[in-house]
Amino acid sequence: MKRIFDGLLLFIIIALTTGCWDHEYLKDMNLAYSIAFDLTKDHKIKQTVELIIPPETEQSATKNEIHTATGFSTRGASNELRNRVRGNMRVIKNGVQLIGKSLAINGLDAPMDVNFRDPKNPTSNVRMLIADKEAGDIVNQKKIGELKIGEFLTSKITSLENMSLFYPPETMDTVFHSLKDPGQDFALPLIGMEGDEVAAKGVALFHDQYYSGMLDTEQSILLVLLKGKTGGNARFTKTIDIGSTDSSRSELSYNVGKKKIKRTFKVNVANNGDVHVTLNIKLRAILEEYTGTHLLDDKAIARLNQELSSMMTSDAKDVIRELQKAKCDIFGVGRKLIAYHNPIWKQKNWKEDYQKVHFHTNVQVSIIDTGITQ
Amino acid sequence: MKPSSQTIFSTVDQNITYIQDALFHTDDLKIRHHFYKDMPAALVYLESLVDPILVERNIIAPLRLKEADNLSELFTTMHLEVHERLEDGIQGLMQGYCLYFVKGKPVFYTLTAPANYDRSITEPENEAIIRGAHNGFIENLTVNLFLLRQQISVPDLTVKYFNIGNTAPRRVAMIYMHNLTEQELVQKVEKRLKSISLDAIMSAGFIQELIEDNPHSIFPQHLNTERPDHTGAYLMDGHVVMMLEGDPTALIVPVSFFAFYQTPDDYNNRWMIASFVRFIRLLSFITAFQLPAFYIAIVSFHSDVLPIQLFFTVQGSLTRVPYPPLMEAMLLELIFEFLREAGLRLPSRVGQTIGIVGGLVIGDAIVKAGFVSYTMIIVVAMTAISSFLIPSNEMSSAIRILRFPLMIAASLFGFIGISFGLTILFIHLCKLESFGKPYLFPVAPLKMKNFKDAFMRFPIWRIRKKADGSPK
Repeated sequence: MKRIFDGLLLFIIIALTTGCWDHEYLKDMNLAYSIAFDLTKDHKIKQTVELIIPPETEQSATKNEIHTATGFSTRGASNELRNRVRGNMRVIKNGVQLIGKSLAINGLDAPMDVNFRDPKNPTSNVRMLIADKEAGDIVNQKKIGELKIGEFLTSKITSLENMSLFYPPETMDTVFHSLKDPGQDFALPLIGMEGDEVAAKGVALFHDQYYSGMLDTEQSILLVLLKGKTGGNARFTKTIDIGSTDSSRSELSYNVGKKKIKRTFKVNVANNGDVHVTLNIKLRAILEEYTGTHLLDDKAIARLNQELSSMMTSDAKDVIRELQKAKCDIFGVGRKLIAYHNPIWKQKNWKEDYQKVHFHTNVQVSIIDTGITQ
Repeated sequence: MKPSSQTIFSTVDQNITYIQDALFHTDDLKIRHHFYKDMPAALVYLESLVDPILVERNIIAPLRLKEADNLSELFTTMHLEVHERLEDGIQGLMQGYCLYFVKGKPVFYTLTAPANYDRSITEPENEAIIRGAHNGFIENLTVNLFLLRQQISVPDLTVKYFNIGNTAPRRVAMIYMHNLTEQELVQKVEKRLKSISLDAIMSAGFIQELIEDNPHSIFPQHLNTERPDHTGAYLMDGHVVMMLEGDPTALIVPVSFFAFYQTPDDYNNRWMIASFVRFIRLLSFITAFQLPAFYIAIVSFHSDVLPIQLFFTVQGSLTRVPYPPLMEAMLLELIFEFLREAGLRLPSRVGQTIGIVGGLVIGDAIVKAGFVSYTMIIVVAMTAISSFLIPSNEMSSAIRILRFPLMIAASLFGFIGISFGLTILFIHLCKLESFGKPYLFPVAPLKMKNFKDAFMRFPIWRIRKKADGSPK
């Protein structure tokens, strides 16, 4: 009898008090969906957080609140914030992390440390964005149209990726890899306010952990293509002159993101220790718009191909110049050196020597489809 | 019962008195006196066990019409035995025999005229199928054996009778195919049946519990069925079947876990459809006992696995519930078990009321009152439906019980708790044996060949090539 009673008591205790020590009930959580970090003038960190307030009933929509706090570190700012917001603020479903340019220039290691150190913070699916001015301003918009700011930013990133403005997706995990890899740098999408709207500005280039330069939107697409990747669409619009008889100029829109890209990327070391990089891509374009009067017969297409190839090659060279200026080794030339030319790598001071790398870039475009009219 | 070797007395009256004493002057013992060839004679029988028409036609009529020196030739009953020991006669009376005594004869006759009040052969209600034979076992062992013999009319079908029970013995038949069944298995079943020492066997469940390998396991180790075609199929696979007189259930051994997820319907359907259905049933094994645990683990530990849209839906429905998820789940599971048990005992006309009470009143009001959340209702409903997908009632009950410990494990340690719970469960399943055959057969020990009829239902010509190592 006593044993049965003991068993029953144990069962009741277990049923009522289980997991008391480490559970975290879903209903008690207040979710921070998007977070922005900025550096204030007095070198403190300002954190702006979008909190999602669960609906009162199942059918109604969620609402959001924006809160701001400052502290000496990200965690410090979070703690300050926790004093102010209601309940238990959690970042477990954090989707977007915005970092202001001022903070990015000072390096990402410090503000991101807490994310990597504490396993309760997600890293694998958190997208990072760089704001060209104050990141807090963007989150403070609270709502863009019908969408809450966090939702807007995540869908914005998806559409940027689809347009090949930024691809492959860079999450906190991949950024961490690049941060810790001496032979590999990274870039992050750059957004900013244009009037009342949040617009993509291109990509922010990083050297080591520091913001060091940027590319505009068209260059960003080319950068993605140079990496041999495409997010599904990569559209360019060029003004071009192909008519040999009349000299009318015509607008040409084409998409190179639909087809697979052939890429050759070779890193060679010359006898004198110079590093030569051959980076060629072959693009296959689908013509989407052509406003000229000249019929696009085989001859015209051949000429177009030539014209476009030379235009894009020079654009690509510009992109690489920008990259070298920003010391951003986004293609991982250093990684190749570490792997295949290790003695050379050891002699190099990659921070300086990356800028001395000789890039031999060539972009070849061939139009394979003109749509259903010629 | 005292064994006695009292032989027949010289006078009829002495015999009758002895029998009356042995039966404690029961009132349904009838004695009919008359004279046979001018010698006093008597017919003794238990009124409740004999058919009066048969007695009249096969015993009394011949006695009146003819006279013969040899009584054995006179009676026209199916069965006639000659005995000396009165004890045999008393045994016979209990089985529906009539005893005939004549003064001066050193022996008496036992004559069959058994009464038959069997119900007709109908389809078992809880094992109905769409296509195939619509007959089922009844409470008469002879009829049941007839149903099996009718299906498998070969001399290899062997039946062995055992009388089990010390005070009130009942007949148990062990049925097997002599050429297909391992001799070892037959001996094992025989040994276990003989070792039962109990005053009386009330139902097939008694035999089941007394002879199974692990009576403390939650999983059934005998397959119960009331379908002759199902039983026949297992006989042809080399299994042993046990049937109790007066019980329509056939106990089939040895069985593997997957046998409980198969129905005779599978073999009447086209193989792709049958495979799909079988796959769904096995899927229901997982949902039937893991879903509530999984849900509890998510809402109390791992909310980060929820997609963001779902996160807010679940959160919204949880905010008004005042106690931890385990309590919420336990409450709803208990209500569901109440309803199920209540529905089982109610006559079908009142049964609809339960549907209304359960579905409308509890389902909707309980959420509005803030006792449980909508998501929990969905989870419990899903679990309930999954548990009814299992064709075998015992397996279904076992799985229903299993979810409670798993729920506690989930609320203690989240996903890790579930993993531990499942590990323990599968260790148990791997260790379990049914009459020396591994319970989790084609999986542990692994025999890929037999997967053809465990997870899927391959075309029949692919299965019937007897894959080696099957529990033949």
